Amino acid sequence: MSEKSGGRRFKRKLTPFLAHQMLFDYATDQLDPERKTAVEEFLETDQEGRTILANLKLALAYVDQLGRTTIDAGVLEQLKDAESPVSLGRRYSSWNQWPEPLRWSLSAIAISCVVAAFVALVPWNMLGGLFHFKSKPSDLVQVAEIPQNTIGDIEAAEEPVGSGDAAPEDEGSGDEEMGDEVSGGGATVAANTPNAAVPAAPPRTSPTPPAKAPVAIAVATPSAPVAIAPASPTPVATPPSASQQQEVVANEENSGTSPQDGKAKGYVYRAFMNLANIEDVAPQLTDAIRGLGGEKSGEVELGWKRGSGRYYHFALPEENEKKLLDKLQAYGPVRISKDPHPRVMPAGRVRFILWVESSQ
Amino acid sequence: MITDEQARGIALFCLFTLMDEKTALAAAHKAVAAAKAASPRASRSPSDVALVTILRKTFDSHRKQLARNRPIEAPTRWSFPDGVDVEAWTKFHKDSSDGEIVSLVLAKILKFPEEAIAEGLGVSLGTLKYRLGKGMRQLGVALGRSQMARA
Repeated sequence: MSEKSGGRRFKRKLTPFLAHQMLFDYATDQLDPERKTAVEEFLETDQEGRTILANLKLALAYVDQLGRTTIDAGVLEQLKDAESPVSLGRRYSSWNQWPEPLRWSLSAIAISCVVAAFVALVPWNMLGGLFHFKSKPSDLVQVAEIPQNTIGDIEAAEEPVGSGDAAPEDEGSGDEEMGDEVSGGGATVAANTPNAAVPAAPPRTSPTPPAKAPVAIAVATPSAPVAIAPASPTPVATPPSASQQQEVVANEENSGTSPQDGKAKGYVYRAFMNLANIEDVAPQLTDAIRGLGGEKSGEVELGWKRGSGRYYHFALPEENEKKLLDKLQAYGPVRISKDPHPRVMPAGRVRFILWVESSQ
Repeated sequence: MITDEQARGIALFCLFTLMDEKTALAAAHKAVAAAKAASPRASRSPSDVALVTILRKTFDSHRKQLARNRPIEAPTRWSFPDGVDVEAWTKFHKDSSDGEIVSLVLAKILKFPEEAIAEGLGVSLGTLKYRLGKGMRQLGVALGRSQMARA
């Protein structure tokens, strides 16, 4: 407010406009001392200023009173409960802020979902089969290599040409499809040429046990479908590849669940023997089979000679199955596979296809 | 979280700035919900600046719903202290600008710090002080006239 210039002190006089503008700060005591003095000096001579100041003091007291206004308690409670989607979201963004029943319910649902997902995703069939295999060993689980193409050729050759006047469907070998399937791996089977079969490649045999050889039963897994040449005069049997001779270990439960043949409800036993004295043993085998109630199936007689081997296709009472195996083992090692087949045998009867190969 | 004092301040602001009981209640509800949403954490209250910003936005959105020269009725769910001249406030409300009304209510009735008000309103401290001074002079004039009329 004052200014020193050349040792003289000048007082700045407030204009009415400035003084009126400063009255609010004066009333609220926000002016520095010099300005405060200047305003007070101005007010001594200005009636309008004094009126404004009086009104300002009234207004200050008035707003203080307004600040003490009370509000209905009900209104305040309503206000405190006011929520918006955002505020609700913030409120419930923390797990601890959630109501306890809701937290328990969600926990229960989450656990249920986890359990359901576990039950749905775990391959119980595989695990069940695995555990069953380990915990309940069966006498039908030993692995063996079966030269399926040899048997398949013979079975195919057994089928009559133009089988329209052949045996009734139920009495046929019923092995047509299976012969195709087991010969698989690119082999071509002449299904209508029984006498034109080429001697099959000698099957690979396992070392012969000395006395009573163990029975090896394998379930052959059907391999890829095979193209059939119906008019081909001479079947060409290719040697079984490694994939064709894959060794599959399974029990009876699994044998009927071939993924390739969903209709295969029945089964057929395929047996293979490799004997040195086949000329002497073959008639005995025929007698033994007949003695146990075996009856030929298909067209050819029991012990049909083909090449250096003998072919037996017969049905047998189920109760004599074990006796037959015992008799066969008396002659040498027997390898048996239980294959799925669409033909279902009558109850109490089982079907065998036995191939005896000369080892000489 | 909103304290009782903050809820009361929001309600008073809406009443004194809008001067319509129904609109003020609706605006106060929205302002409280917005203040809860603006809280940094559910257990903490919003800052003064955030609250001033919310109140300004609430006033701006609801002020448009009210005609400038509508008749103002005395509120029923608010209890003014004894001896308060509501007519003077009504006169001041009609004669002053929105900025002056809001600034005066925030600074002089609700006692918010001037710095927080200036930041919340998005104006300089000088502008706020000017609005306050002008608003107080107008309110004083309204009060003086009211006193003269009663005398």
